Amino acid sequence: MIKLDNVSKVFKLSRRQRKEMGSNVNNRILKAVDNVSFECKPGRVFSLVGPNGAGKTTILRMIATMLKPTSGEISVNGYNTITLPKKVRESLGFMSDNTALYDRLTVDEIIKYYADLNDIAYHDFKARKNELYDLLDMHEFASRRIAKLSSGMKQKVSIVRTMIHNPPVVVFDEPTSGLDVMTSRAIIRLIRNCRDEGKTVIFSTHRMGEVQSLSDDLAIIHKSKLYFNGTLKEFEAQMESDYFEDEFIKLTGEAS
Amino acid sequence: MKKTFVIFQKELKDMLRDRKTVFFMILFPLILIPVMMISVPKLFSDAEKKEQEKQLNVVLFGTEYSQELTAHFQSAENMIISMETDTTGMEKRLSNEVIDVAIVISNDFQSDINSMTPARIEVYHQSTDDMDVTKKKIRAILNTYSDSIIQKRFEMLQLKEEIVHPLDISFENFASPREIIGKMAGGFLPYIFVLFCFMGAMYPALDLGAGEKERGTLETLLVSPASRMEILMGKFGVITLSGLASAVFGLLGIFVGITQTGSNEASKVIEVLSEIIQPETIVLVLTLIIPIAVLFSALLLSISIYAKTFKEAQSIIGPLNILFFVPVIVGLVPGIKLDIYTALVPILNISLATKEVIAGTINGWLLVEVYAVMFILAFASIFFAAKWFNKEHVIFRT
Repeated sequence: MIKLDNVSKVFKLSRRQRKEMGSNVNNRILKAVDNVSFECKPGRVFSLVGPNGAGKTTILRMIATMLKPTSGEISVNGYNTITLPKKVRESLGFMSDNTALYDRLTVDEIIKYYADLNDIAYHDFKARKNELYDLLDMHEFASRRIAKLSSGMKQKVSIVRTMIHNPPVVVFDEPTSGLDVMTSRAIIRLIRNCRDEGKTVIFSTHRMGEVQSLSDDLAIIHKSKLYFNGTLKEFEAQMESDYFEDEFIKLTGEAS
Repeated sequence: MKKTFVIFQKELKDMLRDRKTVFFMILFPLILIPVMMISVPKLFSDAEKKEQEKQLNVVLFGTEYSQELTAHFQSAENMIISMETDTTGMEKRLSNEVIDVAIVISNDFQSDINSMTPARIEVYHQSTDDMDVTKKKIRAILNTYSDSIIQKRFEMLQLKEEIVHPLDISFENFASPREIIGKMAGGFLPYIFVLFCFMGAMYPALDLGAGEKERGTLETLLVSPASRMEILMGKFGVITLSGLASAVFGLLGIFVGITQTGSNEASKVIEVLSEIIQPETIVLVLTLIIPIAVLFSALLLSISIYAKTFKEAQSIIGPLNILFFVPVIVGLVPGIKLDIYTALVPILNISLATKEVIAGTINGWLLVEVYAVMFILAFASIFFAAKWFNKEHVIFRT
């Protein structure tokens, strides 16, 4: 379970940043997230939807304890992100659009590294690794160095790295962005598996097709504010446009 | 602690698989220094030998004014002597390198010699890159001639040579060879270990900070159960080890260089070095390198983490290199010694203390002061790096 309660995040802007953003000199802060509340339940897929720069990544980073909320509270799996950040991270798997792997290590070495960071006992690690390798058909390239892998293979390694400690909560930050159809499908299959296993899944995207095919619940974020929070069915029921994408554009366009 | 070790192990493995880092950390100091120590002096001595053996084209003008001097030149080795009377075009022939030296003997040369007044000789040459060998050769011939004249004058005046040497000076140096060579080598050693320590720590720091940020792998670490401090210490340990290893390999490189030169001077140095290289000296020098490695690692990692990209980190770290070398150079200035004030100046204190340790003249209390200053600074730099690593605007700088 992930719960956000009136969460805001404010970044102080340096003079250089203000200049680069072309904003007013008096505007010394940037409100990246403005009073956002929502809940992601176990066994359901929650989509965080919004255009680029809406604040999706900032929310996910706060959930993953990389950033601290300026106000409000976040709890993950029952643990507060400020008071018990380590417990939060132990419950979490985080996957971004970037495969982010170490080129000079082998697949096995990388998986072992993240398993060790998550304090997994050797026996459990072996069993979990084999289970995931079987699922993703990875045994063949397990001893190969990352630099020698294709982007699809790297994505698989990235999935195993995220899931090796069998986390009850999984965060996907635009997981299919820039991926080919085959790899995108593998990720979508993984998200469904996580839901079927009863995990709490939150993923950010701006692809409305993915939202429609995967989500149980969704939140629409635009210009740091929450514009919709509810189930997919509720969203579809209040739609004025025929297509999902048109409705999204209409909603965010009206807000602009 | 366990996670720090996990990160340390992984970073070390990753670093050792990087050829560039291994080259800068091990091979560069271990090969480059001996190669430089052997080849550069050999290059100089070969070039000087070649110059010495080179035949000089010498033109003498006014030989009719001193047959004796002419005979001196004619008997010299490696010289082709020609005698001319007209100096027209002499300068052009010298600048075109048709001739190497032109010597003009003044027309009252012999009468000046006879009257015991200085006789004038003009020597024209064009020396730029021949190590002054031409000038040295001509001066040697003229000195021999001058000595023969003085000898004749002493005989003529029935004087003893001692008359021009009123003092019999004897200098006794009580400094042991260890002190002399130690102060010389001790001044040079900090150059090596500061340079290699910085270079050895630089590349891993760039890779483990800005490099990880750029590749996105830092984010995967930040969401792991490892705390920021554990991540920092794991990375910091590898960078420090790399800096230390590089400095030690640099010193080993010097030792290999000295033992391989094979010159007489080198054998004397080896003899003294075997006296210097005692376990306690090695331990003392190593303990002086440790705080420097810690300081460099913490600062380099802080900069690297702050930078958005590898390139940005490189552009900040580059000029810093010079900043760290200023105190090392100041340590070589004659007259600057380790005292209660210089012991307070970071890096300069290490430079001066190394000199004293190698020479065997270190004052225990001053050494304690140096350690105190450097370890306080090293811990402060780790503390700063830890604080820095916890700042959101540093880690997620846009």
